[in-house]
Amino acid sequence: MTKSSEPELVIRAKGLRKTYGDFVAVAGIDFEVKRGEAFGLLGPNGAGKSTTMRMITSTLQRTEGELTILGKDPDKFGPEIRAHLGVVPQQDNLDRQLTVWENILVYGRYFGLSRKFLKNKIEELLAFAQLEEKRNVKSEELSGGMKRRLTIARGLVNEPEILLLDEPTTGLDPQARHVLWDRLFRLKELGVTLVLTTHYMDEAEQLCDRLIVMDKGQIMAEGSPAQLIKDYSSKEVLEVRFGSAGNSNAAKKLQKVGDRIEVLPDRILIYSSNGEKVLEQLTKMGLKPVTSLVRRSSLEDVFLRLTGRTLVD
Amino acid sequence: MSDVFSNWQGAAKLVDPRKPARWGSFYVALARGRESFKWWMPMIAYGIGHPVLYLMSIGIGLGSLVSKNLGLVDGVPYLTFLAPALLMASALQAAVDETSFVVLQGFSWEKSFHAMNQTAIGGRQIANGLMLYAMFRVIINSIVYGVILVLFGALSWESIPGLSLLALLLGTCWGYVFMAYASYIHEEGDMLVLAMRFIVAPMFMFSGTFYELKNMPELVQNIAWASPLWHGTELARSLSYGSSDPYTFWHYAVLLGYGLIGAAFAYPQFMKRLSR
Repeated sequence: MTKSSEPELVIRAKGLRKTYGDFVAVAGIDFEVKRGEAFGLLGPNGAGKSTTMRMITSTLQRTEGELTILGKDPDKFGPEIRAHLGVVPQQDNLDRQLTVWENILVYGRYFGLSRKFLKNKIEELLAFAQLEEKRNVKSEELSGGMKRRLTIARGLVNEPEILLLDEPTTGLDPQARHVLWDRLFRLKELGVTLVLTTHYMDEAEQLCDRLIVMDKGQIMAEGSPAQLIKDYSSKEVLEVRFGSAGNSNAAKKLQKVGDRIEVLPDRILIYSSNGEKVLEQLTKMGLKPVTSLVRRSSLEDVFLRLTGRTLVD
Repeated sequence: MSDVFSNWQGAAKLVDPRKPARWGSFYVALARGRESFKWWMPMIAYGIGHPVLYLMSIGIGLGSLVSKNLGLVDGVPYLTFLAPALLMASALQAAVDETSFVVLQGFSWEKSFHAMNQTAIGGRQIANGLMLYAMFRVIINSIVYGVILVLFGALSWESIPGLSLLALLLGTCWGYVFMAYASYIHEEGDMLVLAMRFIVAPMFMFSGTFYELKNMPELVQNIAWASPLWHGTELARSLSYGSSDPYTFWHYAVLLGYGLIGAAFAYPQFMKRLSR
């Protein structure tokens, strides 16, 4: 493949750093995102995901480092860059006094889109968000999930080149999450670059081609979900519970079982290529867990390995 | 019907960033207008009802008592003396309405300014848009108030355009001060309520609205120099019935000074809060 046929870089960060006084929110990170890629930022609350996201959104100035979005410096060309971005913030910031229909109209006008274009576009977006019946309802009267869907639809009004989604499915029910994932896939097929933060591992695994795992403002690992699991975890995990009093005693006996173990307050995780075999071994050792579960490794395990913490800590 | 995906062109083709760069402030003003007109019934009732009731009670009721006991005030009937001051006070209140809690709502309560700032427009345009709508409201308010004053015989038709422009100057300049002040407040509106109670409300009492300032103690006369309403009122009286005033230049200078200081604080603070 020649160099010119390689996908264009739409986001490039080098030594990207953001501090608030002595507090370091993002500690000099490097990453690149190619056009059409689905790129994820994974990490617990306070990891620096949203701060990084706001810098990419061109609404938060960096303290140090280089950042280019669509080939431009966001500190110098913020509005010009944002004209081509779609932003779904973590916290819905809809206009509560305006109706669902008006919220999209007003937002579309901020991109300089004509009323004629928006008239059709709003209908498409209402169908996308399944909010046709609510078009004349004030946004303050919507349920949490509906508000989230409206915020996502609103973020598509300018047909963005890069769609930035900060915790997009928080507040959505499982069915709505899956519907959204399906629609994000379709946007990706159209060439839209997706950048999302999430602390849902299943979401990151489903949606992201590539992701970075962040903690304390730093990148702990980078790669595709499958590659990260392969590099930092075993194929399978056996989860066993011996009761809150029994876990620590059992853990002492399990030190040489499997590839490695993690002792959590409520359960013990035993990493191995064959979980069932480890479970048989436990039975032979005379250990009788209250509950046991063999599952495949997930990004949660990667994160635990990298940081010693779970994503919800 | 087509769906989102079938007609997708992409922002590179669809969005011309020059358009929001040029018209962004206007879009913000229109959005503010759309929001504000959700309350059109109370707005009209207040806009017409307030001056009518005020003029009936204070202007005619109290006015007839003043005229009976004191005769002319500043060389004119009391209602004529009072009318330009009321128009200025109303303009100042309209400007404060549009630059106080609206700012707090945009930054803290609803974060609508942050939503705007996610698009192709920026902090300066948001501040401009708010001010544009505040100016629109001040002008409409002044014209309506002016017409009612004419119907009560307190003003001449000819003075309405000039007084409306003066009201616009007063509203814009003081509006910038309030916009700046409000943009420094986070979360709760207590500091705004304090400013309303201890700055805006007393201003009506210490600005020669209801009586000639020269009859007041020297301390009150000095306080009036700090009041934008007094400067606006003096200019309005001069324009309305030709009251003599040696300080015309200073009235304009103080009003413009307030406006410039307010704007000098408001714009950077808008940019700062939206980029933090």
